[in-house]
Amino acid sequence: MVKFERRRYLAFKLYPEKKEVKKNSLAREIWTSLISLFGEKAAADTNFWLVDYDEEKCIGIARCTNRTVEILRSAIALLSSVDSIRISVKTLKISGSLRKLRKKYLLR
Amino acid sequence: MPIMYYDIYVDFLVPDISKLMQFARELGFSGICICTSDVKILREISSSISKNEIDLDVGVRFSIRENNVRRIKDILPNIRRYVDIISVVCTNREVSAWSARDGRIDILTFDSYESLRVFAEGAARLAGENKKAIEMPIRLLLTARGIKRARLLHEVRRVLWLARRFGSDVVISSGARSIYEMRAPRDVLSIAITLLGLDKDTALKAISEIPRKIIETSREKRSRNFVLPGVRIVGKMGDKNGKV
Repeated sequence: MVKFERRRYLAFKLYPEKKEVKKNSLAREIWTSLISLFGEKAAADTNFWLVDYDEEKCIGIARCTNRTVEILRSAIALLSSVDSIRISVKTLKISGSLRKLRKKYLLR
Repeated sequence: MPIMYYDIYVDFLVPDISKLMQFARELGFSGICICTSDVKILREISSSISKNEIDLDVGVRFSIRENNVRRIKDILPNIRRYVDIISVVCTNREVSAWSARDGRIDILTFDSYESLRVFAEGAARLAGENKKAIEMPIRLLLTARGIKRARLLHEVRRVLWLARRFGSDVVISSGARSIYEMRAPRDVLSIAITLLGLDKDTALKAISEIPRKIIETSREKRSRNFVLPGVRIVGKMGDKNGKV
């Protein structure tokens, strides 16, 4: 059966000033970045969802579609702060399987 | 062979240089250039770099930000021999056109919306003829928001389009003033493709091949054996190794 869209999972690591970045705030910042840079339509096309965020390791996994990986990647890369905490970001890996990423980076 | 990524614009304002170098390595860079605009601290930077034990190619860069060509002419002879890269911020049309012609300057760079605005077709043509690189620091996009960023993006695209039209090399760097403004090379590539209007090949060269070539050429020029581009002394008559 042909799928409507293929999902991609993007693991990324934050380098925050303080380890107080919350998952909800991070998701909101990524949405804001997506909408501000690419508009509401492109943001909707990404089907973005912040699946996981480990506050201890500062590693997150975000979901998007296979056609919008670069868009989500640049939206995340252009985050400069979350809740006034300055951050740097690095994308670790992009995969089609959530389980693989969880196993590799979040030890689940 | 793995791709070697370079970030040739990291400001010396970053307090801890060893931490900065470690972070650059972690992000995946093979080399960085530490930039300053102060002649007095060039020696301090060189000594910090010499202590470097991390597997990272670190260069020194001098950035000139002057509104007057005469001031740039005064500064240039004193520093060319001591730094790997010299860049000039395009503050006005006169400065950008003059810098695009001068052989001692490697890169034309931008630090604000206003400096992007002054870069015109004439300067772009001169930069292309004289093989100058045009640099775009990602920091500009990180610090702006909303309408300001939208206008900035338009100007960035215009400048990059002019650069490619007249055959200049394009370099993308972070322009970071703290480690929080540095981004991983592959993420910079994504920004260049999705927002700056570059194709993947040009964007990849802009963060790897071109910056590396600029540093290597400059180091070659500064070496004692350099005579002209493509000509260097390999030995002298009477030398043990000289085969003349």
